[in-house]
Amino acid sequence: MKRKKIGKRICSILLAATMFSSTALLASGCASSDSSSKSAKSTSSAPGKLSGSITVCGWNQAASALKANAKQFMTENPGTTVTVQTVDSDYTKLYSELAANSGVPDVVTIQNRDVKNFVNKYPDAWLDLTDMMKPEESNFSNYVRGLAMVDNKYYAVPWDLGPCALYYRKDIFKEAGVDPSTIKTYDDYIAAGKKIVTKTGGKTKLIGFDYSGSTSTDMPAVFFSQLGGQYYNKNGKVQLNSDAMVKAVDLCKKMINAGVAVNLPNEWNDRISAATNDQIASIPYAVWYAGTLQAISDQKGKWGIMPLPAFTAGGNTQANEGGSALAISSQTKNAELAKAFVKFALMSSEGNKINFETSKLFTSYQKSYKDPEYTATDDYFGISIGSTFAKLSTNIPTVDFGPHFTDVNNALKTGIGNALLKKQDTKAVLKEASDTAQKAIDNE
Amino acid sequence: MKQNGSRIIIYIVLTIISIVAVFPFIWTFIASTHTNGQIFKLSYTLVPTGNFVENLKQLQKLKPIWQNLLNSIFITVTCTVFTLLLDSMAGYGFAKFKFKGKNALFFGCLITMMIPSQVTMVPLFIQMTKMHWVNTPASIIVPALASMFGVFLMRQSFEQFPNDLIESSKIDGAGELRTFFQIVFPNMRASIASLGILTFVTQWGNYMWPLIALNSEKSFTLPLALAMLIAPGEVINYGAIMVGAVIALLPVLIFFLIFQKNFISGMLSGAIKG
Repeated sequence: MKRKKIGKRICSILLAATMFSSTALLASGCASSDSSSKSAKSTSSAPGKLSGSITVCGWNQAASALKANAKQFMTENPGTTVTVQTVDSDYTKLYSELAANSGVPDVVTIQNRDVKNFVNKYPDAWLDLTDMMKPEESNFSNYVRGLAMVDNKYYAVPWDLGPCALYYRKDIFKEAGVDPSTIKTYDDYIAAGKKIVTKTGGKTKLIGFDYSGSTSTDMPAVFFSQLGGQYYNKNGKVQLNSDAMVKAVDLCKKMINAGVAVNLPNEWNDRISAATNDQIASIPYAVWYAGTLQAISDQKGKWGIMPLPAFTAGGNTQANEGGSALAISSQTKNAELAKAFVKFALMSSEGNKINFETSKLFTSYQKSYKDPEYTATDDYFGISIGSTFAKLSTNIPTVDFGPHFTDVNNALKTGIGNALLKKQDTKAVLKEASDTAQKAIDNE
Repeated sequence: MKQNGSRIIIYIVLTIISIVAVFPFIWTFIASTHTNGQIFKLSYTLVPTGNFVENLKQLQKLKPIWQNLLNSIFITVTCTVFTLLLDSMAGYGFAKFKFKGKNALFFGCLITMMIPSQVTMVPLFIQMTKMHWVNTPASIIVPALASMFGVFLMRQSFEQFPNDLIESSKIDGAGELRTFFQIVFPNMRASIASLGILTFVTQWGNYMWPLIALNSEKSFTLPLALAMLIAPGEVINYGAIMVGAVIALLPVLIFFLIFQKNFISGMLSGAIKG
């Protein structure tokens, strides 16, 4: 009896499924037609008049900003079509397209630190953008220009930047009797942390990060950037046991030993949780973290932003974490349109207004820092995010992520975990990490 | 008495294990009704609050989620139906027919199982580009149809099917097709159901290949749409993601509940044969 029933049920499900699927086929058939316009048509009409179509790709909010830019661009340039693809931020899709040498979008989003990696792995896949960047060079800081350049040629146009500052809880600092303006160095910072921990009975710590390094190494990376550290020595070999890296990791160690740090095993999500529940009083992080704090709506007005403490009194307080760029594929059939779109989206007040308002992307294009949306006061923080961070992006120490940063970073993660979680000797584990990374690069 | 005591212990252990297994699902359902702030509060309550509709609205703003759901259902169902049909027929052929080169052919097919899918991904992508199938459901469905795993599974279970039954059906005048569909197929329900469930669940959660083959958000499947809501350094709308997870979860739950009995019997049948 039962068996029969199930058989009938299978039949009816299959039947329903086939019916369902035919409707879906209709729907998805319609959907797929809109992107088949991918093959770009290059029409060489009079100069200045753009036409044809291009495809642009980016992830999540970068894609949202690109979409908004595309919409505006198409209204201003009738006869052009800019299609935006949302892709993964791990480049899985892009790598397959590059490997197949087919289907690469005309314009692609790449993280700043990965530009050289892509140029190194696929040297012929990218358009030389030097002619486009040369006249605009003065509008970009040395920091971002260095990241977009290989052998004195630009292969990408810098998009957003991640200048860092110290986000801190004004109310918690005040309650613990800490005056933020007196925090000049990291020693002051840790001392302030001790006060906060004592005052709150250990409930609130000063800072949180992943001791194991496996989900993120952002905190040591911020300190390392601030120290102007380099991942390679003069001979181009990996050097993770440099003074700067040892100092950066040791600072984290110091915070853990002083009892002012809390472990965030799954750093990104755990940090939001820790901030929401008043478990951390400050976060040294990049401008793009402002949006995540703003989402904690009941802490509105409680967060302040100040420059990072320095390692020694009067030392550098600027650092960078993250940021991305746009590159143009050499496969593009409409380079003129692709360049025009990139110029519009990244190097115009109009485009940067869209980037800031749609996705809170803080541009590297310094000309736009004078635009009204960059100087406007932010409701949540009570100050202007744009001008605060613009001031903190003038002297960011340059860094070379090199063509094999993935290998370097993987080794570094393990090294940081060994130093912070397993409490091994910092210099020794970083030396080991250098060797591991170099071996991985040599084997490639 | 003694038996009662051990039974109580068994029940306690089973209860704990099932809570551990079920809790993430319950948490997902509850979290989908919370605001972003509530999700991260330590004083987390397991009482749903009324933010589901708002989360859903935000999700709809971020992604064409219903279109993505339809795509997922279409791709998964088509794939499952045709995989079952093709694999069971091929398995039947390998198990019951005698023809020259059968073993060599079967061995050749088995070899395809040894190649990791990562290796074939790029060539397959080139092929799809040349066929202009990129960004269509066909690029997901067609390459998945000839699953050697399914053929192998079907062959193993069809070998147990008594030859006498097939012969008597032929003596009674049934052709090959009729014998297959009316005699063999209905009697192999358990193993067919387990292959069906496996195909359904695999395809429903398939991420890697659709990520490469599909381009526009409107043609995305659910796992793709959900994965694209997260990127490093960006503001993440957790409430919307939880609603998306619920939408992705429900069809599988329903599917599993309907076929639960077959699933378990299919698992057992495989276990005994070894």
